[in-house]
Amino acid sequence: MPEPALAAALAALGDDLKPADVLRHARALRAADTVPGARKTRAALLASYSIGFAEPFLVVAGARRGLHISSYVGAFNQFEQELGASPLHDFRPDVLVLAMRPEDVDPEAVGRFHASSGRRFADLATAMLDRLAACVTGFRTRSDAPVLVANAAMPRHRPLSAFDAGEPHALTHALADYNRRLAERVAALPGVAVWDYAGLVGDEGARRWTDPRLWALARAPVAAAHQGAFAEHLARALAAVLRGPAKCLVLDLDNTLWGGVIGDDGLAGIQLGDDWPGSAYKALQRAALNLMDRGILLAVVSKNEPDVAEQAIREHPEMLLRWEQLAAARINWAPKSTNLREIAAELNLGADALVLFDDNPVERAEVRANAPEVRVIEVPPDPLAYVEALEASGHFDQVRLSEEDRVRTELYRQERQRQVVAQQADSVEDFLAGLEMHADVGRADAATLGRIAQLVGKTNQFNLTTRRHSDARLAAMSGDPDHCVAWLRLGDRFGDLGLVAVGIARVEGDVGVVDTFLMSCRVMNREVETALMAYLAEWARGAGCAALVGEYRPTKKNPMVGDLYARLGFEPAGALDGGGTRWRLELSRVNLTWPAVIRRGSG
Amino acid sequence: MSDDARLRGVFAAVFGVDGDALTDETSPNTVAGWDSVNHLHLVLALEGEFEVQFDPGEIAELSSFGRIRERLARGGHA
Repeated sequence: MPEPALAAALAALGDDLKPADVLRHARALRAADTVPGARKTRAALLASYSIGFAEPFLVVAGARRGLHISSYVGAFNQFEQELGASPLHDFRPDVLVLAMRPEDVDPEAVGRFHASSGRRFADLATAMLDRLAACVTGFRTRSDAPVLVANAAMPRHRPLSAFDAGEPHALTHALADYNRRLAERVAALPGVAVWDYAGLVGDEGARRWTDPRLWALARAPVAAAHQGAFAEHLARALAAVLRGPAKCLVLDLDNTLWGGVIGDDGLAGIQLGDDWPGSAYKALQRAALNLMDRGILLAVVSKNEPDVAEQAIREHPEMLLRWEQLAAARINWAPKSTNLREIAAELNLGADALVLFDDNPVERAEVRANAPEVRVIEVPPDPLAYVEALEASGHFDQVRLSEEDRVRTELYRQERQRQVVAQQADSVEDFLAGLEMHADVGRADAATLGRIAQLVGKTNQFNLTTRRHSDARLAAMSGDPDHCVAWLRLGDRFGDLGLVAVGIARVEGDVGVVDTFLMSCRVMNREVETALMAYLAEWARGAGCAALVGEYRPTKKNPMVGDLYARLGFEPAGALDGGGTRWRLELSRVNLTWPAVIRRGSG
Repeated sequence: MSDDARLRGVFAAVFGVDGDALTDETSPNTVAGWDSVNHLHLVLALEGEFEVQFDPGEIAELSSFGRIRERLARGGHA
C-alpha cells in the first residue's frame, strides 16, 4: 500500500467518518507494515453473531488508540469449535474476545422470557457462564494472551415494557444478575476481563442499536450509525488490557483548573465556582480527584510566578484540589516538556506514564515535539467539554483496582514525611532504624497474585530481568512446587507501604535460579531487596539447592540494579547470551541474612 | 462532485478497485472481494453517501454497478 494512503488514513482518524471512508482507511491500515505510534495487535474475535462485519471499523478505531490491529474472525456461534481447532491458535492472538449474547444462544429464553417464569433464562445464564469459563480454561492451555468477555445488554424489547423493572423476576433483573455473576466468575480467572457491552448499548441506546435489515441479512446486530461507537468501545478495552493505564495526570492551571490568568486577573478575578463558567473548571477538578481516588497521581505544570499560583491553589475558596494532594508541581517559565521529564523523574515514572491536560495548543505541540512519550490529551476549546475529553481519552482505564491503587496518594504523602525524617537523621543507619520497618514475606496466592501481576507488568527500573509474565503464567508458577513466587509487604511507623517487591525462583538441577526480582522504586535504599533475597535463599536451601543463581539483563531503564548481585555477595558467573551477567551465591558457604533494620512478620 | 463520481468513489473505497474501470456489468462475478459481507458494506456505504435507504428485497437486487446506478437514478441521483 502506498505511503500516501496510510498518511491519509492516519490524518483522518480524528474525523467523523462515513462508512466508505472507514473501509478505505481500514484497507490502507491493514496493508501497512507498520503504523507510526501503534503497536501490532493480533485480535481473535469469537461471537454469537457476525462480528466480522465490524472489522474495518475496529481497524480504524484501533489505530486511533495506538493499536495496529489484524484480526482472526471466527465463524459465528462456534466458540468451542474455533477454540478446539488450530487456525485460531496458529494465528497466535495477542488478545481473545468472547462475545456471547443470550438472545443468540437461545432466542426463546429471552424472547419468551415468561413462558417458563424465567427458569429457561436462568438455566441459559448458568450454562453460558460455564461455557465461557470452559472456553477461557481451554484457551489457557495454549495461550497466555488476555481475554475480554462481553457481558449481556438489554435487548430492544423488554418483555414487560415500561413495567419490566418493576417486576422482581423480570428480564431486566435476570440480565443484571447474569452480568454480576459473570463479573464474579471473570474476577477469579487470571488475565480475563469483562468488556462492558451492556454499558455500551445502554449509552448508545438499545432502541436503535440493531438495524433489523442487517440482523436479518447478515446476523450483524449493530446498525451502521453505531458501528463506530461499537468499534471505539472495543478498541478502547483492547488498549486498556494491552497497554495498561497511565499513572499520573499533569494539569495546567490557567484556563484549565480555573478560567482566566491568575497573574493578570488575580485571586478574585479568576473563574471558579458553582456558576458557569466557573462551574466547568470545578467539574474538571472533581473529575481529576475522582481519578486520584482510584490511585492516579495528580500534578500541575504551569507557566506562572510560583508564589502567585501556589497561593491561588491554597487560598481560593472554590478550589476542590488541594496543594497537599499534588504529587508534584512545576510552576516556572521553563518549557513544559522539560518540566514533565522532571516530574516523571521525581515520581520514578517513565514519561509514557504521564498524561498532559493543557488548554493551550502551543504548549501541547511543544510537549508532543520534545517529550513525545507523554500522552497528550487534545483539549477542546470549550471548558464545558473538558471532562468529556478527559474521560474519552481512556488513558486511565484500568481493568481491576488493587488495594495499592486505592491508597496511592496517601502513600506519597507518607513518603514526604519520610523525606523530612531522612533530612534530620545523622546517618543512613539512624534513618533506617528510625523508620521502624516491618515486613511480611510469603508465597503468592489468590489474594496477592493481582498485585504481583501488576508489578511484573509495570516495574521498569528496579527489575533484574524485566520478564513480563502474563497473569496466567504467574498463576501457573505459583501453583508449581518447583517454583517460588514470593512477595514482600512493607510497613513502617508512617504507614503501610503495601506489597512492594516480588521475587520468583525455580529449582533447576541442584541450583535455585532467580527468574524475576523486582521492587517498587519508592522503597529503594531500605534493605528491602536484601530481605527478599534472603527469603529466596532460604527457600532454595530448603528445596535442597546448593546455590542460588541470579541474572541481570540490562535494559535502557534498569542500570540502577546492575551491581545488585555484587552488593548482595553473589560471585560473577559469566555472561548471558544476548547481553547481561550471571551471578552465583554458594548457599553452603555464604549465609544471606535478613537485615536487622526490618522486623520480620508472620507472612 | 457528480453523482457518478461519488458512486465510483464508493466502489473504490469498498473494494479497493479503480473507480474509472467500472462498467454496468461489474458484479460479484468480476470483483474479487464482492462477497456477502462486503455487499452489505457497499449497501451501507451507498446509504451513507447518497442518504437513501434500501429495503431488504432491494438489497439483494443491487447486484451490479449498472443496477445500483439505475436504482440511485430512480431516487433522484443520476
